[in-house]
Amino acid sequence: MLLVNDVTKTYGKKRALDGVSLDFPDGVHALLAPNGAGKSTLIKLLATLIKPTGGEILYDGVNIADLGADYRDLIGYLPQDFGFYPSYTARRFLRYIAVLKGLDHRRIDARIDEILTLVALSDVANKKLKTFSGGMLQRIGIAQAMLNDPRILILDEPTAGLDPKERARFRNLVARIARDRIVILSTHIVSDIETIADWVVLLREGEVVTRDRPEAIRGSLDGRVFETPTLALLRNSDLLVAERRENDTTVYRFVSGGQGAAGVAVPPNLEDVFLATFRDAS
Amino acid sequence: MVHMYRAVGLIGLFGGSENRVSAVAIVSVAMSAFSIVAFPGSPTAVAISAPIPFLLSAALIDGFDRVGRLARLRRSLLFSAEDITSLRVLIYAVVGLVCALATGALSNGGTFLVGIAVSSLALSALLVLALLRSPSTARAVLVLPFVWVAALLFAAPTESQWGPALASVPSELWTITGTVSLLIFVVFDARRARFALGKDSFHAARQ
Repeated sequence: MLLVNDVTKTYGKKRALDGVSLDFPDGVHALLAPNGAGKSTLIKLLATLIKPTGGEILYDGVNIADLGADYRDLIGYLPQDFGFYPSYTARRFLRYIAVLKGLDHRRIDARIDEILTLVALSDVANKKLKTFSGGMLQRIGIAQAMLNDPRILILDEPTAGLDPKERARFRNLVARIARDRIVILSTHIVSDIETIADWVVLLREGEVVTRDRPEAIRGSLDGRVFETPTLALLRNSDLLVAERRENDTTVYRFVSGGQGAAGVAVPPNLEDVFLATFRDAS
Repeated sequence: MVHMYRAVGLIGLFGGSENRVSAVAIVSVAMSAFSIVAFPGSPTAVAISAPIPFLLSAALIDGFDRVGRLARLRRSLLFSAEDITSLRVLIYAVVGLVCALATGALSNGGTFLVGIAVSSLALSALLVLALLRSPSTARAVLVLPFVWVAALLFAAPTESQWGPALASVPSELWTITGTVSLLIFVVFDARRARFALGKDSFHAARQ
């Protein structure tokens, strides 16, 4: 169990995180927030890139600062803007990272083969990374994070810049590798986590707004999401969250700002909650 | 440190830096040769060129690694960027000492210039270590070789005044001071690596 206990992080006078407390049991945890809400700061703290100004992060009851390298041996981390050596082949790059992760030299090649199969890149193992697409590079990013079979997998904005097909592939990959480990995934793209998250954490201005199961979070808007073909029926207090074309008609989806609404009630989704939660920020 | 070297080897230490290692070697040899041939017997030339292999290594290999796109990932690994840097600078110090001794010996100034070369290397090594102690100052190692050369070039015109004063100090004292400084550097660097790794870290390494 990973536990974030009353953690604060300040940069000068700016408070990036303010008294954040969270627990992370096994499963996929999605940190969902607009840019600048503190999710990258939380990710950096969990990946030991920075230290908290106040509070503590515990793994199985021990402060990760005291665990030091032992904690780093437990994590796999895919940073935002994942860097790589363009002239390296996929296999050579993974071997380099495996060495720095302290893997047994005799097992490295076999482990790389396993991981490349997992991320469906076996056929390009000996191709240089500079020839890879964005989606393939992100899969290499996942591969390097998985080399040490981590207990905690930390993914910072892993789908940024990917096309829809690659994002779908990435979601499936995360769902497949999430068994029996803690996966912490930060994103501001709601559709990326709608189907794979076991827990969703909404962050705003460095504070936890809510943390719950996706169905419970969706449930917070039960009876408040409607669709109508008539835009004029929306009141000032209603929040338009989507519009789509259906049989030559535009259908408007909105979150009601008060009691009832002139439209057909529909089941809420996470995007409705996200937009309703962050309507002021947006 | 030995255990860490066995674990990571040359791949882990210098992976991704192959071109920069070559550049350091070429520039270092060229500068040392120029210094020896163009300014034989000059304490300034020796003080400038002796630590250049060390300073360039720290700047071009570790300095660049800290600003490179892989920097964030490398800090999260079992053998983190800080651990690797600690081991690397010890290697730079050993190679740098050999280069400094050679530069001093070949500069036609006897043991005095050997002492100057070792002292100069030791001072630059301590400067690098001080800068690397904090992430906020570590990037300064990128510009340290230029600052070092510029500072000594600035002092060169007055060499006729301070050169004899330095020469009056027994050359053994220079060598001893330089060696002691280097030893301090080695001890501090090794301690830094130990702290960075944590006391039980090697149990975690899957060797």
